[in-house]
Amino acid sequence: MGNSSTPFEPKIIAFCCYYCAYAAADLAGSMRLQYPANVRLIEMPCTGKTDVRVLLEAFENGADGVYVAGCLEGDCHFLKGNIRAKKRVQYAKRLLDEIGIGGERLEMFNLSGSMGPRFAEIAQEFTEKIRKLGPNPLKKPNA
Amino acid sequence: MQELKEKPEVTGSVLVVGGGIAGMQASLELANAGYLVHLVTEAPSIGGKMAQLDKTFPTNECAMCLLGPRMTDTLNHPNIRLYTCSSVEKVEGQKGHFRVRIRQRPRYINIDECTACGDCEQVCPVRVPNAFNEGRGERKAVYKLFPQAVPNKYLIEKRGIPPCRSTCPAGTNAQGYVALISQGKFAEALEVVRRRMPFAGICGRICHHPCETECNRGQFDEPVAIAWLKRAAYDYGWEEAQEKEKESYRPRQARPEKVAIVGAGPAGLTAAQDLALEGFQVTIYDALPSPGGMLRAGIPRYRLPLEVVERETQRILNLGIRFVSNTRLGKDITLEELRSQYQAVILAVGLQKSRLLNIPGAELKGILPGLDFLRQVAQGEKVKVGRRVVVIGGGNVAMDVARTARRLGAEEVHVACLESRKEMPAHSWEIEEALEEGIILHNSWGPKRFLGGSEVEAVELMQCTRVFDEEGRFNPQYNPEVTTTIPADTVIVAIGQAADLSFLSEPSGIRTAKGLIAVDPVTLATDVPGVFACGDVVRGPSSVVEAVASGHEVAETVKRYLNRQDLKEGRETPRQEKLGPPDNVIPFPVRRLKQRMAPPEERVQDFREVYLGYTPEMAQEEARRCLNCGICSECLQCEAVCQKKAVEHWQTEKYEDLTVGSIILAPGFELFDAKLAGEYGYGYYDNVVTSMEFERFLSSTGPTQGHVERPSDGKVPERIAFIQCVGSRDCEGEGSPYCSAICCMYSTKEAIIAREHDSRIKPTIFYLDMRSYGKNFDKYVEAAKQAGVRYVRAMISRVEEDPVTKNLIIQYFDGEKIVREEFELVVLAVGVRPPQEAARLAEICGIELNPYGFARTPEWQPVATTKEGIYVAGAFQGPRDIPETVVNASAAAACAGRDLAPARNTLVRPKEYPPERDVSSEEPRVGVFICHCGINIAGVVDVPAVVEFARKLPYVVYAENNLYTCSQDTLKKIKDIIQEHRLNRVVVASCTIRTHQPLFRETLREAGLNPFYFEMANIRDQCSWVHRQEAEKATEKAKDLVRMAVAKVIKHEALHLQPVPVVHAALVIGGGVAGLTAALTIADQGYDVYVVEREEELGGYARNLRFTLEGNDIQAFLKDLIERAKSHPRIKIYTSAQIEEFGGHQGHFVTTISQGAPGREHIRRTLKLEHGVIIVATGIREASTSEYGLGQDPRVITNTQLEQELADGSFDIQAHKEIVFIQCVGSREGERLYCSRTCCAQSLKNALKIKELNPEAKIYILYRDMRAYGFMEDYYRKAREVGITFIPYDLAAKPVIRQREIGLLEIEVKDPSSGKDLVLWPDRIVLALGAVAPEGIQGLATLFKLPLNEDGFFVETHAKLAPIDFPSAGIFLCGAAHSPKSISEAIAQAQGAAARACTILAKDHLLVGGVVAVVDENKCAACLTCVRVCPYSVPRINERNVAEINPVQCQGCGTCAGECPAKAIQLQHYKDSQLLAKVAGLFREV
Repeated sequence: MGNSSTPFEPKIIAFCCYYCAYAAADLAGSMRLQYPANVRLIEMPCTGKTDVRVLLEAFENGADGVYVAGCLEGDCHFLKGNIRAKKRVQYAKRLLDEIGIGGERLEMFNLSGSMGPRFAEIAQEFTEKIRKLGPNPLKKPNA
Repeated sequence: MQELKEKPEVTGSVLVVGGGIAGMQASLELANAGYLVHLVTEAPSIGGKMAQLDKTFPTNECAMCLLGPRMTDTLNHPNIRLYTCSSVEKVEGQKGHFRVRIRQRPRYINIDECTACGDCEQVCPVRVPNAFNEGRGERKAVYKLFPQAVPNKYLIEKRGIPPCRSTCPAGTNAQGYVALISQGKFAEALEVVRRRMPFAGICGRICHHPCETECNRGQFDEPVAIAWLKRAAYDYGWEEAQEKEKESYRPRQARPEKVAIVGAGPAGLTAAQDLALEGFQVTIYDALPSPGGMLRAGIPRYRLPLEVVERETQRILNLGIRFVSNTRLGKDITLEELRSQYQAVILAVGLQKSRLLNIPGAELKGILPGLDFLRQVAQGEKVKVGRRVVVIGGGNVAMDVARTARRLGAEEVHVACLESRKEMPAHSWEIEEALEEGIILHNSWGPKRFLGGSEVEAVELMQCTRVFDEEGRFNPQYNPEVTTTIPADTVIVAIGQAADLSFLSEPSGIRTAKGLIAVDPVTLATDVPGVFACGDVVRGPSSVVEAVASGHEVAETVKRYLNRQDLKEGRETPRQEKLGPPDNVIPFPVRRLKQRMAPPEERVQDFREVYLGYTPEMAQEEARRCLNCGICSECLQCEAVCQKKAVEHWQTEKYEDLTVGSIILAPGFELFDAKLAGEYGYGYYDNVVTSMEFERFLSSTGPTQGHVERPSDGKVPERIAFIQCVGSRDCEGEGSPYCSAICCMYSTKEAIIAREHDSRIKPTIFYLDMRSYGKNFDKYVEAAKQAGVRYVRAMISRVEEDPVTKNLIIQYFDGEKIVREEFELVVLAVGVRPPQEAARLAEICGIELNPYGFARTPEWQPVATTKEGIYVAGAFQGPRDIPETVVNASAAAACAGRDLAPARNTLVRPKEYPPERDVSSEEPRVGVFICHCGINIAGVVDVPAVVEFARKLPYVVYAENNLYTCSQDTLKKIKDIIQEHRLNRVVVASCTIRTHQPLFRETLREAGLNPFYFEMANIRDQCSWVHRQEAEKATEKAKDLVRMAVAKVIKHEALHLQPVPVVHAALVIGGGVAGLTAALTIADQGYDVYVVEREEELGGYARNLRFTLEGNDIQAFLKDLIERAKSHPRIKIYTSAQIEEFGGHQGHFVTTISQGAPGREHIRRTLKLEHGVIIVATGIREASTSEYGLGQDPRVITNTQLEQELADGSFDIQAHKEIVFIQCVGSREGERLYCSRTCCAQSLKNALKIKELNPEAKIYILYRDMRAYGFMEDYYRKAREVGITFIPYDLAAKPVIRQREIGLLEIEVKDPSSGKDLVLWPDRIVLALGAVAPEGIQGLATLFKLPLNEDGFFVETHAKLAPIDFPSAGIFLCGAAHSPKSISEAIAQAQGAAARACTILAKDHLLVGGVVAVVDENKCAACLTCVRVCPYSVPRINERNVAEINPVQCQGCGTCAGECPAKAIQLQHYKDSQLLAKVAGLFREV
């Protein structure tokens, strides 16, 4: 698998809701909190928009890990989009388990827009976790 | 008949004072209703107190998440002009036409340029306590109020010129260089010194430092060692500073004018430097071979090493100054010659002559003049002194002479002077050091004569009895009888200096006075044009720093003289008052550090330097003792680092005059100063904090990043006590008598959240009455109890500290015994105080305040002040929570808007854009703009590499990097490039969409592109800032983010907003106080209103009520209200009516109602009403019960029945001498868990009324918590004062009523103060029943698809920030339909609902579409999933049997799109195809 001399640097996508998680990511920035450079954010109007197909295609494309980050439960700007997202993430995790990619590569997190430190912590912990899990098994060697 | 009276002009703009939640809400309402709003706030950011909160009750939501979007909306609203750091200075005029003056304090940052990159903050050396964190933690002098501040711009805090700087004759910025030294920035510090003081190394050693005398730190322990620190700047900063100077030195435009300076001492050199920097041709003449004057020739080397003098003087000469050595004026060159060769001449010749003694024996050999002696030694001449040396004089020169003599080998050195030790003019430290070196001091002796043959052998001294006369003038008196003789081989006379003005012997025209050159005191010009003088020859003997000051002044004069400017203008500024230390400064106890010195026995051996200076570490430590009295030190590091050149230290305050039609005052509130409640030890005990401090501890942006730590040791406090009512309900202490209304709830919240943070925490809340009277508040408190929060009803009178553990001990009575309990942290629930500026604002605006300092408002007009046209919102009306603040702010907006209705939309103009290019059929042409953000991005990410990468991406036809993409010139450039390269897609890679996307979208519109053809990559906040140590990976990530953005933008489509016409009419459901008030407020703004009332009569529940606690007549008010509604030409009232059918959307609803004929209910006619908005005001009814014998025993009545008896006079005083009120009957228990909010007030008013009629009546009120919140507390207190007995009862031990055989009504209740059962035999029992939702509310809710809570009250969109709104757009809520409330609260909410409604009615069209969900009818299977999941009930299955989503109502969350099994629904701009492209873009080019 790849060049054994360079450590595995996972590519991770974070689908973040505009109102909380994206704001928390910005706050982590203005607080200059450092976290691994493996996470790439995609902004969503609300995690309620999360689509199982998009999650799965991320893995198909080669993502090593994906997470969805929305508002704290009960705090959704759109009332309960994050509760809907949670269910869909659960469903997608089962599918990932079934097809052998592993549901643990997909997670849902909840945090408020003022939780910059929590955002950095999630990025750190999730990256560590994916690093341990190794590359997405769908990735072709030398890809 | 005065018909000629002119109708006053009405201005369509409103002034809103206060940028908190009230100010923002009022501004948004008005701006959306077509008025121009001027929002003025004292603070540098909007947000108010809410920004400090971590969470909000009762939903535990993140305060900042709620506030953030509201702040952004306010900032970006085209009709709102925001004035931060501003205050109102003057208000004139009247309703409809006020003239207002605004004062804007300088931010010292140009907010148009500031990008909030924070570079300035990083370099700022000044740390001050962070006031936003309630003084916990630190911030810099240049700062943002809080990380999410809006506007997201920095500012600099300045208090004034610190005393160290204002005292320095040369104006050296001591605080500036001390601050930089505290950070180890010695070179930068040296650069700051040099701005006013070219001799840092010299003055750092020998200055008499008046700055230290004035240093405020001296008030606490000892002054900061400012002079020694200056030396440290020289010692450790020289090399680096020289390098920097070389790099940065840019010679000014050379000027042809020539200036001669005579004398290369500190004054002459300073003047030479200033003039050379201005470009003039400067020549210095000096009698000595090298420059420096007294620095070189007068000050002994052990105090000032030669290399320091050489370096610092040479540095000045290096500016291109010609130095002519060994040239004495009057001898080698004449003044006339100089005047003919130079355009200006500066005389800085100093004082070269020693004063000598004219006493017997003065001619003997071995008697030397002091200055000559020093000069000879300094120039390396061999000077011999005898074994025994006597020095005459008590000044610094005498000390120098004595110590020099010691070093030259004299065994015995005596110093004789007239003065006593205390009077000696020499600096105390000079004397100390001389004594250390073995100098023998003879005080109070004057020289009588010198003894000896040809050579001096001894000095005879006589006693000096007095040196100065009564007026303090030098006038020595002697007693020649008392003498002493000191043998001497050498005598050195150091009794003073004089000028050698022999060069003036020719008739030069230069006037002299007292042996010095006479000059103008300000300009230093002599009487001869073109000749100036400075330094000691002008002012007599003085210090180096004064010479430098004089040099600067003369240079300024010469510059003006040569520029032909007025020499004097603006130079005679009066001295400013001394600036004290900053408020609340608690200096950490660190004593002044002594610099190292050589031991005396070593130092007398040679001329090596005595002072060894600080080590760099010592210097930093000493510098940290500075109190930063000026806050900003003006070190100008920020200016140097800011690439946008946004730092403007020169800014001054500005005034702006505005004309507005109405004014809304929303200045917020202050918190009670806990230090005033001394019994709790706040400020003394480390672990006693205020609730707001605790809130900051809980906040993730707070000083502990959300970890609950106690201040004394940083440990998690497991036992936390909350003490309620600190500064509230306090009639004796420093607090306020009223209830602060919010503390019970915020303490409950803080207790819950603390436990959520750390489950080990066990909070206890000590309270008097639990006043959780709002909607869902009681449930919240119950949940807190379930979650482990302990509530103890007890008054806490003091807190003690265990000095060892720093734990706190609280003693209280638990109903049975005294308990002493220990806690690790105590949180004081501090109350609400009127805003600081209340009194000033009231005076300026001419409004009255209530006795507590809040705005006085009439009961029936809750947002009106005592002046027409001026309204109030928020806590300025009295303590209140956020939803009530929002409600009142909307109400104030409604009232302000009503006054100005004729001028609506007159001052707001829609912006004009060029026609939009249709690019839908074009191939994508993407332009990518990548921002450096100064060095914020480019310092980490390799921006040029990202640009190269972007250029190669598919469809990218243009890519470039910009220093600041958001700057005005770059935005213009982007527009040009869009035209030039026919771009149809734009990607900007810079900061965050949250602040900048609107700006760039606007740029696209201005360039004729649809704004949705835009995508942003966040490579700053989410990349360069968070991966600072991993430049390579950050660059890779930035490339990925750009590729993802390009991939998505290719798939973007133009979205257009479609106009939907608005029907300018409102439907109000409910004809009670709320409904009628809403109707009138809307109708007064010029819109039609339909009021639908189920009953035959208008008035609602208020018809049952007669008078208020304040004593106002409810029926009179109601009658007037109904009359006004009935007679209003725009209001149509339908009584006996009900709603039959409902449809449509915001802007255009259609409602069918049926109306019964009077008296013949079954005969109904139906009507179809069309309207743009709906207001639900369905009210409330009194609850019923059979408890306590109501309905069975006529002596048991309801509160409302009693009220009517009292009002109509049927209450029999004689028959009812003893009355018992029972509160909370059926409320807060069983099926009805909520508090009805109004019953405590109703019982209080009825009980007080009875007492008024019969002071002898015995009245008992049995209660659970007396909820006399806010100013109502006054009546509760009054009730106790007039003898009404209040007995609390517990739900577990409710009062019991018994019927005795003899007909007595007996009631038994447990009295907690005695612990006994109390038996009463009242004549009447009055039950407080509470309120319930009206019948039939469920049907109405179903018809309108409006949510009801389990108590039957409507659920608003958001408990905090949208208390009037329904999730369904266009429908609003007010009055008791929301939750039980008082009449004035219902009025406020009704007015608020009217304001919300008018934001729609004010528009002719609503623009809909954009980011909304759209249905592909071909794919829809009508499975109802979308109908089920939409939180706003927008989708419906239409007549074609497919889902239909009305864009007017869709909020754009995409939940339906995410859930739709057939993928028939897509959310515009976030379509699956677009998101998939973005995902794929991370891995490959697409």
